Amino acid sequence: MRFSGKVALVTGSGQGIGRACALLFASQGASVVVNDINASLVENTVQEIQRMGSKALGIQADVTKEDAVSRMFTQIKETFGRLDILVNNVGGSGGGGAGDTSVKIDEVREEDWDKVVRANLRSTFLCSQQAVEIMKLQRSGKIVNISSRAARVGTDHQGPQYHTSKSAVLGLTRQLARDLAPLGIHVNAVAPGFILSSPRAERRWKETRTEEERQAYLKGIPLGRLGRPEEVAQAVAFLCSDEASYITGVTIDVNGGSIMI
Amino acid sequence: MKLEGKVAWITGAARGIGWAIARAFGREGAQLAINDLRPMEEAASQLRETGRPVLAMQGDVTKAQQVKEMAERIFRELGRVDILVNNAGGGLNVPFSIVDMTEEDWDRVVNLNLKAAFLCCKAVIPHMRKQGKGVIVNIASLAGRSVATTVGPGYTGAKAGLLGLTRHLANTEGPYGIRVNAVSPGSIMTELLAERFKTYPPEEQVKRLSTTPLRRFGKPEEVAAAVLFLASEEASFITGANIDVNGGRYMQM
Repeated sequence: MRFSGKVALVTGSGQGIGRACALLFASQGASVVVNDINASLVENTVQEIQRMGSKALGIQADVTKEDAVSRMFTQIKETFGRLDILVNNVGGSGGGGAGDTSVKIDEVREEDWDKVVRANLRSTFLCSQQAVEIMKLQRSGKIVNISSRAARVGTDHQGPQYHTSKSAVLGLTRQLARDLAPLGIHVNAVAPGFILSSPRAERRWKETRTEEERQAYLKGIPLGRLGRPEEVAQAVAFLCSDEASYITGVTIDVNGGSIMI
Repeated sequence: MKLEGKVAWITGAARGIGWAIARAFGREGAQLAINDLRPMEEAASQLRETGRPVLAMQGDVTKAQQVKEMAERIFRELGRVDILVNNAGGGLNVPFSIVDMTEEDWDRVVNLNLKAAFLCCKAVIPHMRKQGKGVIVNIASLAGRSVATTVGPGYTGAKAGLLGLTRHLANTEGPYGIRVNAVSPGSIMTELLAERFKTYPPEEQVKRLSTTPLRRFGKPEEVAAAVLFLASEEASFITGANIDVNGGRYMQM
């Protein structure tokens, strides 16, 4: 199988895109480290993977905190002794229109900014830093960072902190790709468009738009629909596979054609 | 098998990247229709290893009439076209400097690298629209994303144009269920590059590799893998996109 013998860590794999990635890796032979800030979601994903007959290690941790990340990677080293794949999937917009943080420049508070930038960018940096320590000894590894369509273009319902941090993830991706190439580590990104990935995303889709606005939004997407988490996971898996052996520093857009670079 | 039952037309498939794409598709169960300017028999017989028939045509994709005839032959003999890969292309040994090239050089390079894709898309899209489903993958180039360093401005212009054509068609054909994407290879060691590389000045040879983070040329199979991904259902929400396969030589937005 594609990922037999490989160990994959997916941050934020309790739900949504992260969970879809974890399940896809498991279905293709990987042992998966399931991380989320929410312990019961971790357990949920772990059990699903075990039901498939694959190996899963669940680690509840807030990956925006350096000591928690450090502990997580120690546990990975002790359990598996290797790490082949890191998917930096933790992130989010802080809720946008659904209400957790403000999105207008004049309303965004310092804590809104910090919270979202930490979730999207700091987590990616901290986990990548720790993963490289293991991967460089293997002289091989794959890192995929989950960015967003919002890295490419402004949107209506997510604040400056989201766009900035998702765009910064791409900058980090490119620099790490260049820097880590001699160590045999490939670093790429996936930029999803609007994916119906979680109850929050479904709420955001329904509550922040009228039916008319939803129809107008869909008209702006050539494929005429929103995406599924599995469709993002497939692009992640491709980048993490041996088939992507000459690919590093790229961003694959998975957005139904809603923005084309 | 990712392409079981799919009929795929790959242009410029006698050798190099095109042949590698045809092989990758054949191994995933596709029925192959391939064409090239060169005689196709050896390429076709190697592809028949899967035991599946391969429709091999000798034809010039820069000529509208030949494109039309090839498409009609595919519809007639294979019944459908699910996937089109516009791979035919190349620098045609046109001079590097604008000052040295002729108008005819421009036309030749643009016809092969851009117009051919237009002609082939035009031949299959009406059919794909009726099917309500289709996939097109255009083989662009790192040159289309930044610049070519050994081939003239016609190549860069045409390859960049091919990316624009990709986006445009993704936009117009998405509602018909047709996905259109591109792959932009960097320096891939094919017979074509091997011939050309010998003619590069030594400093260009060194520069090629020293500016590639992975410090090597790519293999045709590595491009084929990205094309296969985009052609398959794994890329069902991807359209209007480009995947660079260049070892990190150029990392752009």
